[in-house]
Amino acid sequence: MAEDVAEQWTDEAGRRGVALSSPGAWLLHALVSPASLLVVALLVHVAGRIAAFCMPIKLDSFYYTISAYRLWRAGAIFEDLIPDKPPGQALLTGWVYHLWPGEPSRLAMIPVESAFMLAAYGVFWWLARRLFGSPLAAGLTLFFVIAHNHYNGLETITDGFNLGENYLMLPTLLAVAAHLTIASPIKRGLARGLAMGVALSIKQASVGLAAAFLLHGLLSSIRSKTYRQAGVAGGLTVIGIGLAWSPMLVFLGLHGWLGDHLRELAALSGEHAAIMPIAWPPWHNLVPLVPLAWWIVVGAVVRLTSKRAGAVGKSRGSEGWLVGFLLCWLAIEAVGVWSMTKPGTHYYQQVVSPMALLAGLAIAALRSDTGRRWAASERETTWRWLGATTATLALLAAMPVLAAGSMRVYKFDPRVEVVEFAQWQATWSPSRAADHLPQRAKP
Amino acid sequence: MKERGWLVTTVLLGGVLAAPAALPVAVLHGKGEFTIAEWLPGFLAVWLAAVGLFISTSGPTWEGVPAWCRGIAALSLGALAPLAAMSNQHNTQADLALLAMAAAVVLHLRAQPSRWQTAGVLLTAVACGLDATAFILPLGWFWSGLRSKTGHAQAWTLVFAGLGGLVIGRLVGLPMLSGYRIQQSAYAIHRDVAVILAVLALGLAGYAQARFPRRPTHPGWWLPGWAAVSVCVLLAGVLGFAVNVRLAVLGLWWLMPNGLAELAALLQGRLTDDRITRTVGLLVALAIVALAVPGLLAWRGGMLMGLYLLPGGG
Repeated sequence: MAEDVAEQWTDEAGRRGVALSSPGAWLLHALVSPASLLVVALLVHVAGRIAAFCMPIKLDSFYYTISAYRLWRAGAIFEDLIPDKPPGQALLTGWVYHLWPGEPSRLAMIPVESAFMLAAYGVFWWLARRLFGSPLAAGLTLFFVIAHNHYNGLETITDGFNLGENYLMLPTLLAVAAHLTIASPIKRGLARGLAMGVALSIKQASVGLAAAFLLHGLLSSIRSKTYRQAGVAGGLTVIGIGLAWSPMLVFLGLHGWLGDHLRELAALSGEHAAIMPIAWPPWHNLVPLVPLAWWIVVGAVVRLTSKRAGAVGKSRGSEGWLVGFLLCWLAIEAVGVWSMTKPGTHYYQQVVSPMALLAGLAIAALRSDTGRRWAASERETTWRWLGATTATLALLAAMPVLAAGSMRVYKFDPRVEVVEFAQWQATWSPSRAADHLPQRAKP
Repeated sequence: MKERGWLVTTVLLGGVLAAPAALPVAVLHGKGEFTIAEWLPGFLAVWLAAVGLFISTSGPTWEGVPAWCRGIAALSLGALAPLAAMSNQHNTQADLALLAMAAAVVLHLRAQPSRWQTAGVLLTAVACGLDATAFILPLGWFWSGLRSKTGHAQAWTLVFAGLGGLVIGRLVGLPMLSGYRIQQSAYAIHRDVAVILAVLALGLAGYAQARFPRRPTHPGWWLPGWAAVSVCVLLAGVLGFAVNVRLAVLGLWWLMPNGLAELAALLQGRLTDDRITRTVGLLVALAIVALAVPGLLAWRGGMLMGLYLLPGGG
């Protein structure tokens, strides 16, 4: 057989073998190339947006869209604020109605939301590439995109379009990128604070990441005895948050709503959270995380077996430091998801980023080990099997999003959108968005 | 157990596994009632296809692949293929398409060139006429033929035969695809794909690992091309195109023995004595067992249905 195949290799140990014969090799290499993976990621994004936008139930997307539309109109009133959410998302998105050529509808939010999400994918890819290199970054970005679109495209209690979590991705990743890669405490603190401020102005759920920064910063400063640097970075983070909040506070203050809205926010925040019974999440909620969990398990086992430090690219800390931060962040977000009183799948979006970065770290450890001491044949065999299983698990995670997208696309009707928006406008006020909460229901 | 033992096992156990697996789709199409006419074609088609898979993978292309790997692949075809076609609207036509395609593959792999040029080509045309998804076989030949200096004639013959089958199928009034209604296809396709996830993983690994010679005189020279087209068509199916899932992945079923053989060698330490490589192999094996769960549950559903349908079972 061997004489029929042109490509042959000889590894470091002198062993000889036969390379993949075409056309198999060509297709496989094409499918796993970073460019192909990113194209697939974009395809999943489009399917996810269709699935989320064309969902049969339309609730939260209208809440946030109507609020954004009204707050950017002249003559906005206090009732245009959603009582249990900061107005950051509305202020970041409602401007689009001043540029939108047609009648107001949710359609205007499609490019805005997609721009935020695509920018978030870009930041994630940049961060992952910096930490783990290009090929891994492309794979991780695909899993990141699948998981986010799965969770909001297949939301179970409301619709997944124009949700706060979709806008949170970008600022939280920018904050994490600043935390992980900027060495200067001044620049790091300020950049982290500005990004966290934007995130906190969109939704209170990002407070989990702020807690992770605080805890990790505190513990690593105690360990490395860099109290002063940590103090400077922490202080500038607070200043950054204040700076990022200032436009929102000025806006509220100028309208005379500052005190009332902050009081309502303080009273209603956390109304969706409680101490819940400990139970395993439904299987369908874990499916998008399975490819990431698979890499984490493989990487962790290899790491424990080899007892060698993995290679982390341009991070400002060691592998252990990075693992510490990601585990801390993941644990806080997991507790946040567990404490939610409603079984919404979009809450799981908060878990995706730390899981994805942990998966990258785990698989980077394997790559570092294989690169160091494995023969070509062993390397090829291991990566081939990991590739085959990962591809199948990724398919399992992506299929529901693609199915929902391809099914719901037939329900898209721009004329209905305009009519529905007008009906919501006429019959509903954003101030009623929190009426279902116990704190609000009390007189 | 040697070659003969595994052949007998495949023949007997293949039937035992295929019988309950063919039940759900038969009962579904019988609107809740079991009829032998709905069940028998599906049962026979996958049973014969499973035996064909085992026999056809004994040639030089699978040299070094143990009989048990081929047996497991054949048995999985018998047990899972009927369950991966739950949503086909024209199930008897789909069953016949599977049988024709499997028979064509067996002939292409086992028969002498002079014979396949008649029977194999004819069966390929029949399969294409029954379900357009079967056209992936001529396309796979064509893809392989593009890389070969002397395989063009065979590839073109098969492409024209497939096109002829497609045209004749339409002329006699058969639907182009035996499968799904367009607007309901995505969920149905994904349900069918979920049943064969373990086959996908093993087949993909086998496809990536398999090194077949390019010489067109060699019986399996076109397999990588077929598998490559299968992967592309399956991805189209995942996007919602109404392809017949089990026909789309048939090429991966034929490469599953290669994947199984390598995984076994990895676990047994025959490929390497490196601890980490073997650990990864063990984790992969566990993952594949987990991926097999949807298929096993679906087969269990068929078996329970069979027990219910037995006299006194209800």
